[in-house]
Amino acid sequence: MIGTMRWARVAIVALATAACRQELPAGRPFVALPSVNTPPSALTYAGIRTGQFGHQPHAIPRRPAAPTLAAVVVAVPSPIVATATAGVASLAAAPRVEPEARFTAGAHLDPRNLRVLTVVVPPELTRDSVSFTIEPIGEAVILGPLQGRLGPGEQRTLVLTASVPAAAHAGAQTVAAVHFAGSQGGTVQVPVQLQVLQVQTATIRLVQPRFSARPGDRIAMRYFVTNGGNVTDTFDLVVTPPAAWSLHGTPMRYVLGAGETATGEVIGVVPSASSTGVIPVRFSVSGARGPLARIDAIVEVLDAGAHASAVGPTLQAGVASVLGGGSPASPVVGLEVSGPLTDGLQIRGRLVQATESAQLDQRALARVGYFVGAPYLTLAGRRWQATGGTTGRSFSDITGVNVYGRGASFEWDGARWGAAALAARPIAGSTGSSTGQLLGAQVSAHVSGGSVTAMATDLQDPQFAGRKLEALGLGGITPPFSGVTVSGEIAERRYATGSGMGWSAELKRQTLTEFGQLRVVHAPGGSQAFARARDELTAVGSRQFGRRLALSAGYWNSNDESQTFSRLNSSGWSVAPRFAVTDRTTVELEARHSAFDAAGSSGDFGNDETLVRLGVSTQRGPSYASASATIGSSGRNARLPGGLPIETSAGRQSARLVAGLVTARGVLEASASIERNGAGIGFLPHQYLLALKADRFALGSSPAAPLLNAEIQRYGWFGDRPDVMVIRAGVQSQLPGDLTLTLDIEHNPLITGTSGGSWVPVVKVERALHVPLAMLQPRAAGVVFQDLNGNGVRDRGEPPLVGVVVRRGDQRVLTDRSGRFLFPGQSDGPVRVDETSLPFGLVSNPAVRAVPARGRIEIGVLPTGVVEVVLVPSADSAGRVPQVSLRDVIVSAVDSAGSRWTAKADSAGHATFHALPPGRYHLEFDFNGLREPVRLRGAAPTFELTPGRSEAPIAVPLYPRPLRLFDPANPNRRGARGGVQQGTGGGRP
Amino acid sequence: MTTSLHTRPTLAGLILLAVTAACATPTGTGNPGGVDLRGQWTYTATQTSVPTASLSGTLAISTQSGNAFGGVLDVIEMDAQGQSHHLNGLVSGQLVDTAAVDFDAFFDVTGRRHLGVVRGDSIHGTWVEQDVGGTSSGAFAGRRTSR
Repeated sequence: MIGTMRWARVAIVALATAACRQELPAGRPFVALPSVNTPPSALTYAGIRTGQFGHQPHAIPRRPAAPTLAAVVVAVPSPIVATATAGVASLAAAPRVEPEARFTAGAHLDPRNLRVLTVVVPPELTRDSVSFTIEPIGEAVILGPLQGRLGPGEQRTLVLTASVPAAAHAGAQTVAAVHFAGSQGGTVQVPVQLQVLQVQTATIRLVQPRFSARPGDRIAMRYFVTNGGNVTDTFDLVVTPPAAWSLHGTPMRYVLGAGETATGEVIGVVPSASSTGVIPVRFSVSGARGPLARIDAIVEVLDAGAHASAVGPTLQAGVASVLGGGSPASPVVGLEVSGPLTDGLQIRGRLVQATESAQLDQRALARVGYFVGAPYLTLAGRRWQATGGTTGRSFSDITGVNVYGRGASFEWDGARWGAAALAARPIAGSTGSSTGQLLGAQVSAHVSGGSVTAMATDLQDPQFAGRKLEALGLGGITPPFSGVTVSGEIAERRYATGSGMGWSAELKRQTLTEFGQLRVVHAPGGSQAFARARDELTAVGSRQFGRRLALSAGYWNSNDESQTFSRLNSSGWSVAPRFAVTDRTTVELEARHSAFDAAGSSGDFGNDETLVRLGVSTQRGPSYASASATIGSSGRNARLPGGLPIETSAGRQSARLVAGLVTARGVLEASASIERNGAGIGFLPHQYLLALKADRFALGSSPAAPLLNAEIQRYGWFGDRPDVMVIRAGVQSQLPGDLTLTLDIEHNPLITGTSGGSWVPVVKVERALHVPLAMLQPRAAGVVFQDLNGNGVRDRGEPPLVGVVVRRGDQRVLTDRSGRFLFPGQSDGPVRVDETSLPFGLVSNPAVRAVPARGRIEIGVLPTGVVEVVLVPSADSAGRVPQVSLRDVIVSAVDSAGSRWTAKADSAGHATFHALPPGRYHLEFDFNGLREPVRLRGAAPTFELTPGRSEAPIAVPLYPRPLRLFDPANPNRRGARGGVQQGTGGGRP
Repeated sequence: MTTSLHTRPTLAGLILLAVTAACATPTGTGNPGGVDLRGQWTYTATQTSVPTASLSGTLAISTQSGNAFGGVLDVIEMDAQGQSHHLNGLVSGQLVDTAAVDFDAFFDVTGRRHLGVVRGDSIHGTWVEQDVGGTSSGAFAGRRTSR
C-alpha cells in the first residue's frame, strides 16, 4: 500500500475476499466511489460487497471488473490521498461542488446497489467548523452515523453512502437532507437527490404446481403475477399448451404497480385422446424488453381406466352390420376382454365372429374397427404369458420367423431362465388348407448380462408353396461393452428340398446420440423354410451431430429362392441428413435407391429406382406443416420365356404439401400431392390427390361429445381417366346405458363389386362392462372425503372428493363419484392421497384411519385457511424506527409436529399463508435479506387455525437493533465488527 | 435390370443423376397385341414372403388402349394370423405380347408389380412389391368371369 492515509472519521469499512489494490492520484476530479452492483439478498449490513463497478460519471483508474467494496460513510476534509487495499476502501479528494447544484447531477442509482455520494459544505460556512446531521427521507437508507462535525477549511466534503430498497420507485427521489450548522451560527440544509433507475422484473408462481387428470378433464391452474420492479409496468402472461390442449384464460395482459400482484386462472382441457404421462404446461411472463419469468405446471395424465370402478377386467361387447352396398345386413358380433383378473394376473382376448361369413364386407367392417377372424385369449402373469386361439411367435431368423397359427403358446421369463413353446396348426387362407403343424420350443439361460438360447422347431405349412422347416439351433447374446451387444446363432436346417447349416451374426451399438447395427443372416431354404430370405445383409446407422444435425443411413441386400421364384434379389440404400433449423423446423434431404430382380414361372423381371427428396417440416403451436419435393428415375425390365428383354426407364417427380391443426377437439389436416411419371415404368403418368381429414374431432366441448372421423379425397389423372372422389365420414357417440354408437359411411368408386360406387353405411353398437371380479379378492378399499371438523373420521355431511389420485406403492387409482377407491390384491404399502391432485385449499389429514367396522380406509382431507402476518416497523425506546424494506423477510409457520410452511413478505411487510392446514403454530422469521437489522421482542407469536377458518391478520412489531461500530484503527476488536447483527438463520427472536 | 447405381456417388452426383434421369425418355415399349383384357377377373394370390398371406378378390379391367390397360384391383388379404384386410387400388399395365401382361396394382404409393401369362380367359404369374418396409412377393392367378 502506497500513499498517505488520513482518516477523519470512518464509520464502517468492509473487507472483501478478493484483493483490490488501487491508488488514486490526489487532486484528480472525483465525485463518488464506484457503486456496487449486488442484489439485495447478497448484501450485508456490514457493508461487505462483492460485485462490479456500476455507473460512474467520472473515470477513475481501476480494474473495471474486479470485486470491490465500499466504504459507507466518511466525512473527508480535503486534501486527502486515498488508496484502496485488500479489504479496505477509502476516498480520494473531492472536488468542489456548487451548493446550488446540491447533489443530483449524474447521480443515478440502480435500486439494487449502493451509491457513495459527496456533499460539499456550503461556502457560507467555509470558515467555520460545522456540525452536520443527515436526515434520511423516505425509504432510503443512509449507512453509517448520521451526525458529526467537520473542522474549518476551504474544501470540505461530506461523503455518504445511500441505498434505496429494490422496490423503490423509479425517478427522482430525495433520499436525505443534510443539515449543516456553523459554529458561529447559521444553518444550511442541503437536499440529496438521486435518480432511481427503472427496474423491470416480475415473478410468477402457481398456487398448485402439480395436477393429476384423466383425458377429457378440465384443470384449473391459478397463478399469481407480481411486479417485482419499481415502476408501474405492463406484463403479458402466455401459457404454452401441450399439443391438442385447449386453454382458456390466456393470454392475459396485466398493468401492475410496483410490488403489485394480480391473480388469475387458466383452464386447461386435457384432450380426450391424450396419452398418459407427465406433461408440463409453461407459464411465461414477459415485459416490453422480453421474457421476465416462467414456471411450469406439471400435469400427470392418468389412464382413463385408472378409476376405482375399473379394477377388474373390462368386457367390450358389440355388434356391427353393413347396411348397404348391395349386401344383406348380416351382423357381426365382437367381444373383447382386457384387464386384471387378480393382482398378478391379466386377461385379454378378442373374438369377432360373423353370423354369415359369405356375406362379409371386410372393408366396411374395418372402418368400425372390426376385423373378422383371429380369435385369441391370453392370460399373463408377471413373468409368464399363455395364449390360446390364434397365436404365434418368431423363434429366430434361422429357426423360424413369423410362425402363426391356431393353437397355444406359452412364454416364461425368469430371473435366470426363460422358456417358450408353440403348438399350432396353420390357419387356412383363401387358397390353402389347415393341415400341417407349427411346433417349436426354446429355452434360455441368462448369464452375465447376456443369454444363451437353444431352440428346436418343426414347422410345416402346405399353403404358400409348401413351406417346411425342421431346425435345431443354439444362439447367444452378450454385451461386451457398454452400449454394444454382439449376438450370434447357428442352426441345422432341414427343408423341403435339402438341408444346410444356417447362421446369423449381429453387432449393435446404441448410445444416446448414435445407433448402429450390422446384421448378416444365412438361412438355407430361404422363405420356403420360414426365413425372410436365404441371405440377408443389413447395415443401418444414425448419429446426432451437435444439437441440430442428424444423419441416418442404411444398406440392405437379400437373396432368396423358392418354388415361386428361382431367384429373388433385392437391395437398397438410403442416406438422410436432417437439420433442425429451429427447435420446431426441420429440413431433411433423403437419397434412396431400391431394386429387385426376380425370376419366376412367367419370366424374369425387375425394378430399380433412385429418388432424392427434399422436405421441410415445421410446427407452430397447435399447427404443423410439411412440404416435400421428390425427383428421380425409375426403370424396369422384363424377359419372357423365349422372348427378348424389354427395358424401360423414365423420370419421376412429385411434390406433397400437408398442413394440420391439432386442437383439443381433434386433428384437422389438409394435404395435396401431385405426381408426374414417365411412360413405361408402371406408374400412372400424371395424377394428383387432394385430401381433407378430421381425426377424432369432437363435435362439442363436452368430454362426451361425439367424435367425427371424416375424410374427403379427390384423385385426378388430368384427363387420362375420370376423376374419383372418395368420401368417408364416421361418428362415434356415447349413448345412455354406457353404450357407444359408431356410424360410418363411405362412397368409394375405386371399390369393385356390388358396393362399388355406392354409399356403404356400417353401424356398430358397443357396451363396455366392468366385470367386478376384483371385489372377490383381497384388496384395499376406502374413501376420500372432506374432513370438515378435522377429526379424521367421516361424519354425516362430509362430502366425498372425486378424481383424487390415491397411491399405494406403484399403484394409483382415482376416486370415483362417491370418493371411493380400491386397490386389488394385498399389500403392506401405505395408502396415501397424492396431494398434488387435491383441489387448491385442501390438504390430506396425516392421520389415515382404517375403520375396522366399515372395513375400509378413510382418508380425510382438510380444508386449509389463510393466515396473514403483518410485520410492523416499530419505534424502540430511543424513538428509532427501522428504516428498511421488509420485502425479503421470510416468515415461517411451524406446527406442533415441526412441519414448516413459509411465506415471503412483500414490501409492505405482509406475508400471507394461502393454504395453511388446521393446527397450532408458532412463527419464525428470517431477516437475512434485510439491510438493517431488526429484532422482535418477547416470545414467538403463536396462533391456532381451525379447519376451514381464516385467522385475522397477525401483527408482529419489529424493532431496530442497536449498532456497534468497527474501528479499523483497531482491527483486533473483531467483536466490534461482529456486533453488527445480521439476520440470523432461522430468525428465531 | 437397369440398376446402374451400385457405386457410392456423392450427393451432388446423385442429384445430378436423378435430374438427368428424370428428364430421360422411355427406352422401350411393350409389344402391341390384339388381346382384349377388359372385363371382370377373379384374383387369387399368395404372399410367400414373410409374413405370408393369401389374397382373393376381383380384378376389373375397364380400359384398354392398344397395349395399355387400366382398372382396379379389389382384394381381401388374410394374413397368417387369420386376420382379414381389404386392399384396393388402381391398376395400370400393358400387354407385353399376345400372351403376357405386366401391370402394377397401387394399393399404396408403391406399385405391386405383376408379370403374368394370359391364356384365353385365365391368367397366372408372379408379383413383387418393394417399399421401405422390405420386399414382399408371391404368385397370383385369375379367371375372367365377365367381359
